[in-house]
Amino acid sequence: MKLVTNRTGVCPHCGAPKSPPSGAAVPRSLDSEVLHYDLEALAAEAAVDKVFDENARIRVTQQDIRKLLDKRRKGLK
Amino acid sequence: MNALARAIRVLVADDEPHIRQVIAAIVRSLGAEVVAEAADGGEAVKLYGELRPDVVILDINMPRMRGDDALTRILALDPHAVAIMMTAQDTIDTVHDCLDRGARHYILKSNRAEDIYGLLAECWPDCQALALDKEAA
Repeated sequence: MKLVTNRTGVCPHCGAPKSPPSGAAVPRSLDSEVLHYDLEALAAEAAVDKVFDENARIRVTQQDIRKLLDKRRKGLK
Repeated sequence: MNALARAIRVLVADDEPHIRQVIAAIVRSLGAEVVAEAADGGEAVKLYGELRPDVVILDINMPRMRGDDALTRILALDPHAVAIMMTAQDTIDTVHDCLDRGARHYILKSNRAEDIYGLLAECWPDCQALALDKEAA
């Protein structure tokens, strides 16, 4: 992919810094380590979300269900 | 306590044919009769209405109509229906929901086959008593 860069960076008339032309990609580093780091951060975030999701849904065993049924039959809930 | 003079009639609903076979085999080994098998919730409701079994064993995750929705419809047809949920769904919310809807028992499919046999055998006297009550009503 070819990056479009801000050719001079300053206005030829007044010398003020130029903002990138609309629609042009902001030049940035394509350094693979930076991209790799971003993916790792996303993966870490997803892992945290997954653990949270799994903890939010309380799982039960057959023993828990047995106790729950006993409680319900005794009128407790 | 009077005993039921005939075998308990059971409807088994599960979308997995091999699971249905295992459940049906366990049910027969308990001396009950499997009157029909259903592959989804809608079929279970239809067969329940036609055959009026004493007990229905329902999976939850089934295509077209889920087992918990089938449970609600079956209980609307017959408020005395005796339903046993047999499912892999092991979240507390699902268990509470099914019991709130009117399921009598809840068995996890994650148990080993011999444990499922034991669990069904354990709830069988209750099912027999309920079937007897239903017949007397």
